[in-house]
This record gives sequence, structure tokens and C-alpha cells, in this order.
Amino acid sequence: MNFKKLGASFVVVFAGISAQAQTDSVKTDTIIAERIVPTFSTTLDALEDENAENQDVSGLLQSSRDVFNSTAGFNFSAARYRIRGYDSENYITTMNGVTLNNPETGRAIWALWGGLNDVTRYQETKNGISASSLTFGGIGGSSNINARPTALRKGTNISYGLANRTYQHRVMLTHSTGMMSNGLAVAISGSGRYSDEGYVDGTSFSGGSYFVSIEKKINDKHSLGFVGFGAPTVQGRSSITTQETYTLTGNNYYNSYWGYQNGEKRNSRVRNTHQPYLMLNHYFDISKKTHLTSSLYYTFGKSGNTRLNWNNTADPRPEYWKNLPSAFENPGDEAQFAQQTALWESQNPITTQLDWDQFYFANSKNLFTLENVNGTGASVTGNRAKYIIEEQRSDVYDYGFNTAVTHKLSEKLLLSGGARVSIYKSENFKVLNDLLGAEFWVDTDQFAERDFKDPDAAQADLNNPNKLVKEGDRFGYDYDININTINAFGQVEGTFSKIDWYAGFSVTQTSFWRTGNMKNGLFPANSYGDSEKQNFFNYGAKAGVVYKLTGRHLITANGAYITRAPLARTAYLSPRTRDQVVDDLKNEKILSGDLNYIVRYPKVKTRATVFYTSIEDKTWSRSFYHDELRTFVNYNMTGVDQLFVGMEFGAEVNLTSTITATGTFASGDFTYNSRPTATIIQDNSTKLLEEKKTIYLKNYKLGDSPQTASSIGLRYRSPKYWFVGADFNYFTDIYIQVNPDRRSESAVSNLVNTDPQVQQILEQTELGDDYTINFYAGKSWKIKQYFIRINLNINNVLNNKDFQTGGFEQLRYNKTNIDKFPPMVGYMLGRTYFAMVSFSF
Amino acid sequence: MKMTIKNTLFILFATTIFLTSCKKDLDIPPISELPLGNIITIDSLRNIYTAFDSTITSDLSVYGIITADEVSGNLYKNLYLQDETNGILLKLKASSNKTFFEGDKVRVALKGTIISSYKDMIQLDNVDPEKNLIKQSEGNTIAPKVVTITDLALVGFYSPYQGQLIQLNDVEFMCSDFCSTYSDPVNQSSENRYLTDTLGNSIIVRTSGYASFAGTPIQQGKGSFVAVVSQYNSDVQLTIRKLSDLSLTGLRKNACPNCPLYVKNFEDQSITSGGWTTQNVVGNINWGIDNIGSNSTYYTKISNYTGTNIACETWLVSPSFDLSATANPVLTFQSAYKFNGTSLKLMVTTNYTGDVTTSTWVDISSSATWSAGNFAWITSGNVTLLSYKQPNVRFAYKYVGTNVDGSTWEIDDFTINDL
Repeated sequence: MNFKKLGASFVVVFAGISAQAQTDSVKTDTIIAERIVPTFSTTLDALEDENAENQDVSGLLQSSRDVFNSTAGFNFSAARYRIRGYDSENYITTMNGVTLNNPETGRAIWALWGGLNDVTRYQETKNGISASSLTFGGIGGSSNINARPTALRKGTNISYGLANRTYQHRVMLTHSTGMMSNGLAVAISGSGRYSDEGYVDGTSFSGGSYFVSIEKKINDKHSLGFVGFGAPTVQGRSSITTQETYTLTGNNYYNSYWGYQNGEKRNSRVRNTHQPYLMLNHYFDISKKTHLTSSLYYTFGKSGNTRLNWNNTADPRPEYWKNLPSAFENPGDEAQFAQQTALWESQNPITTQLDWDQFYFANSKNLFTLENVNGTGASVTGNRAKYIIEEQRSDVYDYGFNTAVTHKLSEKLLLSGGARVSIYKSENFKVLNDLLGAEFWVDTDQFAERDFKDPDAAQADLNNPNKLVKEGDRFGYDYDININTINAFGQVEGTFSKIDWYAGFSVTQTSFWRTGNMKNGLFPANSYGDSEKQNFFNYGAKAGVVYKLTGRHLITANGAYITRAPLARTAYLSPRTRDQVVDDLKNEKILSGDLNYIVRYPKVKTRATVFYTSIEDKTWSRSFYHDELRTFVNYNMTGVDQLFVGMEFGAEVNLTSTITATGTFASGDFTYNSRPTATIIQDNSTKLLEEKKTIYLKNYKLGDSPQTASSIGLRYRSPKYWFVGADFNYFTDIYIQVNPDRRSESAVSNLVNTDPQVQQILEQTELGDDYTINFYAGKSWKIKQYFIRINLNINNVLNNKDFQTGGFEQLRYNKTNIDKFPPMVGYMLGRTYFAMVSFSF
Repeated sequence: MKMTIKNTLFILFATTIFLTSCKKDLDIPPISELPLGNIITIDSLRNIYTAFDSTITSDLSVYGIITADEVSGNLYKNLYLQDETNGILLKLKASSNKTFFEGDKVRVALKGTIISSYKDMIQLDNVDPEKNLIKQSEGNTIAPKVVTITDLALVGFYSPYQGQLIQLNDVEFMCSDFCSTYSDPVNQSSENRYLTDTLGNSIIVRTSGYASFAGTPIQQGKGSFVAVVSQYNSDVQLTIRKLSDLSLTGLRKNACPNCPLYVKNFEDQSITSGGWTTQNVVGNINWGIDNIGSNSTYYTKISNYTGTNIACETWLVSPSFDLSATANPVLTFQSAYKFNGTSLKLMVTTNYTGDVTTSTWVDISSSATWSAGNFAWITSGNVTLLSYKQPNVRFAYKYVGTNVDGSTWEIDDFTINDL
């Protein structure tokens, strides 16, 4: 029996019981419309996107009318809460019906439309398995951004926001003409966001965004639209490290990525993205009953992440384990331990941060003669870089066609369906971003150089051996991932007096392959050119029913069975170096259902839900830098099953005509549900480290989200156009993500059941319960035709800086001393605010 | 409506209880069990050795506490393990430094290890610290057994305390070791010192030249001494774990002569170590190091003959000595020479300026006995320094050669004693 969880549910129950004593019948909207949900960035950023750009979808939930989902979106996301535990690949985001989820990662990338809040506000959101006439959707739901110019409020809106989170300043201008007499409607929006330094030391943000939507009504049946948008963003990022560095520096937001260069802070990890999106839409009202929406789209652009790289020198990262006092925490090294501790505690930036000046100095003193440059036989002498900044790029080119039709068969039956074709390619490569004062970098693998007699083995590209790399050159690896997708779906919805229902199906053909642009010295036979194509046929079926006990009491049930092609991103064992796919690549199988009880009175709205979702045969991969092997090690698992079981409850009660109370509670059990098979390889060796390794992962908790969260809130809304409110949020069942390798037979092979290491290796770390209080307020005025609004959000009002929201076990571990490589953990930001004044006319 | 809210809340509650009460057990990979019968004591482990090495092939385990580790460097790839029955030396396949320490309770998985005897020291060999040693807990203590030197003597082939942590009380190092360091850090060779009790029994203390305290002068008093017991043929030897185990601070039973205040013996093959300098006043002939004809002990040497004789004046200047607290300071050294030339001078100053030509020197050569030539070594005898009981005393050897002649001089064992 888990008393914490019961306690949390008591809070909500109490709120519910006290609420029902009041009687009132004033109709009010849900409160969420007045809340601003700015873009959150937690220190766990790095955890999510070590490999590039897996930011969670944002804005999906903010406009939801459902109490639970809106509360979760507003209050829980800072604690990394995921509704029902689902990964964002289970949410489909579309714009004007065009799917925005990236076919390679499965996720919709927030950075695509960051800063376009005036546009993304107009979303139609479906939670969970649900009917949608635009897309089959995911088990988490779907959301369509209506980017037609007429969807935006006619007029002009100018706003200024001031914050202390990712960015400090935001200005936004949006104008919509509405449908003009010439049949033309135009909407534009643009914004700029900037911060010299964000909440976390050494982070920075500079982003612009633009949006243009034009629609021309050709006649009563046809309209043509164009939408173009993009959000060039440059962001200095923050790290996630072990508790040791936080304790030593006394700063739970310690960021190891930056250091001083000539007295200025410089961040080594800069994300630089700009992926414009263009679409042409055709709206065709074939008849009063039949509507056809078709779109052509093209998106392209860069997504880069810089990082430090080094050659023939010690690991310069301050948080590298050998640079921390704990490396000396043993008898015999007391003096070094004391010295290193003192250096860290004094927060001398030479110790605790990157030392750029030293990188430049070392690069200026490393004269080297490279023979046989680029395979030409010539030689070049110059300063060979010991340290560089490289940018890992993943540039997308995606075009396609989308169509969706609805047909009203009768007053009670609505048919809809659609088709989608997507031709996707991502170019993945490294670019030398900054030589840090040196003259060149040599594109050979340091480890292969040392371990193989054959000098070819160390070459990143045999077509261009001994490549001398200058700034702007591609090097290291260079490959494309191509994904062709064809999808069709159909749906029927019925509306009857007692029962509403829907049923839908979807079929998808996916084909992906790798194109190598370099001939790797270790894998000359399978690194260059097109790989074999991987083809998958998938289908999905869903159905749901609403049973109306009365108009105010509804029971709904939804179910779906979906198969999904494995993601190309996890299918290749070491895509940087070769085209080998994991053995036994399979479709994922998803079985999901929920049962809901919904009450809708003007003054009381509640929803109680139980849900069950099983995802089978996921492919899982992660890549990590192994400092002794001095290369990336790729850890792949197949047959990963996950189980999501739980319940949700949300209630909103109007206590008086001006006071509204909300209560939400969600508790789940999100676990692994199988014994996956692992393959472990390193980038720079032909031999497998391990294969067909059974991982004993069943019943371990998924560590991506707190598994229990609850909230109670009160809001006062004055008839005089101002409001104020606060929410108390409580989180529990927060688990660290496990390292699968620690749950294998070899991890405990020398041990017997009584050895203490068994427990240390196998147990899963649970983080402490914690809570936050969020506050929001706003006021609006109307002066002639002008509206002025002021809004303020304060998150984590009590400035709780000790809330560990999650973390992960390092893939590297030492089984005799499990604390040698402790988990990485991240903290929720302390008190943050977002204040905005907007002016519309 | 009230009813429905209550119903909803009830369902919520029931679901919560259902969810939280059916907590599922974590998956567990196959793990070996250790039946009680497979746990043996160190005493039984030692008894497995009869006359031949024996590889252990069954899944036996032994539990014990590490009594001596590799931190001080006196042990290398060796650990001592002890339980309530006995102790044993573990010979490791790789160093366990930074992993296993004194006070760690470990399980030794014996499969694959070899119980053997080396020169009558019974040991567990072929121990892989990553595979065979499994730490159970840290910070355990085992009290050393208080014994006498005679208790350690062989009974049959073996010392009864072989492999165990012991404590001797009222012992002191013998006068022959009185002025020694624990071992020889220069040549990194192991050396024996001798400990004696008040009855005149003695025992070997053997210390590695790699020990962090190898160059530390021995504790000169009498008191308690904690060490582990090893054996080499019929010699029982004690191994110091760390200097804090020694408390030889009491009044000695046997008084020893004073130790030299200073010795420069050139065994480190350095002229300048300890603050010595050379200066060329004329020419560029210099003092060097050699060991020819000297049983491979090193000395310093100077000669102005490089095919022809070269005119030179070269000084070898000692560091500064403070003799103000001494009673009867004397200097001794060894000298040898051959070939005709100006004789070597022994000089002393109390106002050294850093430049031999501007310092005021007193020639005390006549107080010393010098080599009679033909490279015959001779000791100088005590050169009395009663007139120099003050700070900032420096000595120098002044070598002078001309372009027609010059001796070869060799100096060794420059020593200052307080008689």
C-alpha cells in the first residue's frame, strides 16, 4: 500500500467534497484560456536530446478544454510530467491537416514553430484515442493547428513578454485582415525572443519567428491558401550532471557546458535550428455535404548542435569523472581529494567550467606535419587542432502531399478519410564549426589509429583519406536517412440520441534506408552508398463509444490496436559508420483502451478515467561516449514492451459566481513489460561487444515522467476584468531511468544472492516527492477599440530549488563500485516568471 | 448529482488502491546462490594446502576482513585477509589499488584460485580482484593479536601467526638499523631491519623500496609495533602496513650512538642533490660521478686531464649547515687520488655570498687525513668543527689544475657527526 499516493488523492477528494456543498449555476469557461503557457525548458533538456532534437511537443495541451489535460499542461510539465506516461511520438500534431511529426523521430518538433504563440493558440485538440477527420491520430491524441488566416482574430495584436526562463524578452506582432471583400485573407505573425543569459548559467537564447498565411477564395467551392513559417533559433544549452557537481558548487543548476574566453562566457553546446515550412492548401467544398482539403508541403532546413571535441589530449570537460573529487575518494589519495574538492568548492572557473583560453593556447602550440594530405601525397605543416567545436547536423528535406475528405452521409453519419505521401530525407553529418585558433583538424579515428595495424582503418572516409578539415567542412560521418511513407485512413462517426460512436482504420507503408556519403575505413563494404531498404506495412484500427446516461452524465470508452514501423533512428546499430540494422527488426504493436465517466454541469465538470496501454516490440537505442574506448558505444534493444496502466481524475467546480476550484489527480504504473534483447557495438570496431543479450527489465518503472501527480487550484475572476489564481501541485513516484545493461546476467555474474552488490546493481532509484505552487493573474481593459491585457505567471512561487524531477543511470557502470558512475539528475527551475502585456485592436 | 460525485470519488479511490497494492516484483537475472556448506573459514582454506599447489574448482567462498592493503605501496598485488580463525596472503592478478582497502569485508569466490606455498608462505594465488573479490562492507576492524617475538617462531614448517595481523609491545629497532630508513627508495629494493625485544630476541622487518615510507628514518624509540606476519623459508618477517601502526616513542632499552647529522654519499648519482653546487673559477673542468673500482658505490670525481692537462679552478660547495646546537661537531669523508698536481683543499666559510671568489674561506685541509695516492681510499678522520658551532657553515673542496699537471681526486661519504 502506497500511503503517499493515497495522501495525494485525499487532497483531491477533499477538494471535491468541499466543492459540492456550494450551489451555483453561473456558466463559466474553463480557466485555461487565460493562462499563458510559455515554452518550458527544464534542466533535463539534455537528457531528452543528447542525440539531437527530441524536444517534446509543446503547446499541444495548452488550449485543451479538459480540466485534467489543461492542468497537466500548465502545472505538471515543469516536472517533466507526461500524460499517461506516453512519449510524444504518440501525439500527432498537424497544421491544416498536414502532419508535422518528423518521420524519423516520430515526434513533432516544437522548435519548428517556437515563438508563434499567436498562431498555435488556435488548435483543435483531441485527447487520447479519439475521432478526427484530419488524421488517424495517436493513442495520446492529436492536435490540429488551424493556420488559415481567417482562424486568427481579425486585427492586430502586439505583445511584449518579460521572463527569466529560457529567454528574457519576447516581442510579438500579429496581424490578420480577416476575409476581405476581394476574397483575400492574409495573416502575418512574427516574434523575437532573446536572452543574453537564461535562468541557468551560461545559457542563452536568440530566436526569431515568422508566419505568413494567405488565402484566396476563388469561388464558393474553392479556396487556395499558402502558409509559410519558420523559427530560426540559436540556443546555448544546459547540461545534466551527477549530484556531486551540484553539491560541490552549491548550485543545482550547475552547467558544465560553458567557460570563459577572454573574460566572456561561451557555451560549447549551441543548438542552431531553422527549418522553414511551406504549404499550399486547397479547400474544396464539393457539396454541402462533402468537403475536401488537400495540401502540398515542403520543409527543409538545418538543425545543428555544437559540441567540443578533442584529439590526443585529456578529456577537458570539467564534469568528466576523473576531474571530480570523487575520483580520489579512497585511502591513499586524501591530498588530491582535498585539493580537488577545494578547487571545486571555490568555484574557480578554471576547474568548474571549460577553459577556452587554454584550448586556444594549446591549439596555437601544436605544430604538426600531415603526410599524404587528402590522399594526394602532399604534406602540410601547421597547427593541428587539439580542441575543436564541431556541429552535429541533422538537416531535413521533406515534401509531400496530403488530402482529407469529409462526407455527411446523413444527419447521423459522417464519413471522413484521407491520404498522405511523404518523401523524407535527413542529412546527418558533422561540420567543423570552430578550429579555436588552430589551422586544421585531421579526420581520422583516434582509437582505430591506435588499435589497428592497417592505417586505412582509422580513416573516416576512404574516398578522401587523411582529410585535412577546415572550418565549414563536413567530416567524421556523413549519411542520409531516407523515409518514404504512404498512408491512408478512413473513419465513420455516428451521432444518436443515447449513443455516439466512431470507428476508424489506417494503413501505412513505410520504407526507409540509409545512404552513406563516406566510405568508413573500418566498414568499407557497408558504409558507402545506399543500403538495403527496410519495408514495413502497418495498420491501425480504433473505435469509441459515448453512452449518454443523461445529457450531463456520460460514459465513454475508446480502444485502438495499432502497428507502427520501427523508427529509422533506432533501427541502425551504428548509423554514423555503417548500414547494419538490428536483428529481427519488427513492427511495434500498440493495444490501448480507456474508460471514462464524465459529468458536465454548469458548475461542476469532472472526468474520471482508467486506461490501459501496451506497447510491444519497441526498438530502443542509445549512444554514449565511452571514455576508455574513446568512442561512441551504441546500445540497441529489440523486443522492448511497455505497459501503461492508470487513472486520471479532473474536476472543476464553480464555488461562487467568481471563484472556481479545480482538482486533478493522476496515478499510473508505467513499466517495462518484457525481457528485451540487446546488441552492443562501438563505432570504431568491427567486432560486436555483445549480442543476443537478455535484459531482465520486466516491471522496472519507466523513468520519463513522475507516475503520480495531483493538483488543486483556486481562481478568482472579478466581473471587473481581472483574475487571480494559484495551484498547488504534488508529485510522487518519480523514478530514475534504468540502464538496461545493469539488469543482465553478466552484470551479476560473479555475485551470489547475498552479496550487497546485487541489490545495488538491480534496484531502481526513486527520487523524493515534491510539490510546487504556481500563481497567475491578469487584467484587461477596453479603451475604445483597443484591448490591453496584462498577464503574469509565477511558477514555483516558493522557489523550491531541490526538486529532482528525474534522471537516468549512466550506461557506463562499474559493478564492483556502482557509485563510481552515479546517475545524472536534473532539478526543476526555482521561481520563474513570465509577464506579458499585450495590446490588440 | 451528489451521488454521482461520490460514486466518481469512490471509483477513483478503489482504482488508486488497486493500482498501488498490486506492486509487481522487479525482474531478476539469474543469480547464483551460496549454500552455507560452500562457505569455509580461512583456517580450512589454509588446510587445503598439503604439499602441492591446488587449484580450487568448486564454488567455495571464504569471508574475511582485509587487514593490509596496497595503499602505502609496501604491498603490491598483495592483500592480507583474516577472519576469526586465521589469516592468509592473497596474491592478486592485478593491483586492487583504489578498490579494496584495509577494513573491507570481502567474500572471496575461491573457484579458479590456487592455494599454494612460496618459500613456506602459504598463500591464495591467482586471485582476480575484479572477479574473485566481492566487497561486503567497509570500515570493519580487526584487532591485532598481541604476541611476543618468540610466539612468532616456527612450529614445524610454519609460523603459527603466518598471514595474521599481530602487535608486539616493548620492542625497538636494533642499533645496526638505528640510523637507517625503513628501506631503500633510491634503488627501490626491499631491505631488512631488525626489531628486538627486551629479552634480546629479534625479528626481521622487511620493507619494500616502493613503500611510501621507504625513505623515512626509522622510529628510534621503544614501544608497540603492528604488522602482518609473513615467512621466507625459515625466516619470519614482519610487514608494516602504514607508519601510524608504529608507536616506538618510549625510552630505549639499548642506547645507540648518535646518527650522523648529515651524509652525502653520491649513491643517487647526483652532485647537486641536497643543495650542493659547483663553481668554475677558472676553466670549465667539472666534478662528476663515477663508481669505477669502488664496488659499484658512487663517488664524486674531478680530473683536469682530457688528453692534455687543462688549467682550472673548480669548487664543490656544500649546502649550509647550522651547527649552533651541536656539542662536538666533526666532519669525516673518504678521499682517493692519483697523478701529480696541486693537492685538493678543504675549505670552510661562514659568510658564503653565493660566489666562492667573494666569500671568506678558511683552509682546514690540514685537519684531515688525505689519500696517499694511487686511488687508495682513506678516511679523513674526525675533522673537528668546534670553531664552527654557528649557523651558515659551508664547506667546499677546491680543485686546482694547471696546463702541465693535475691530480684526479675522488671524494665520498661526506658526513657530519655530533660526537
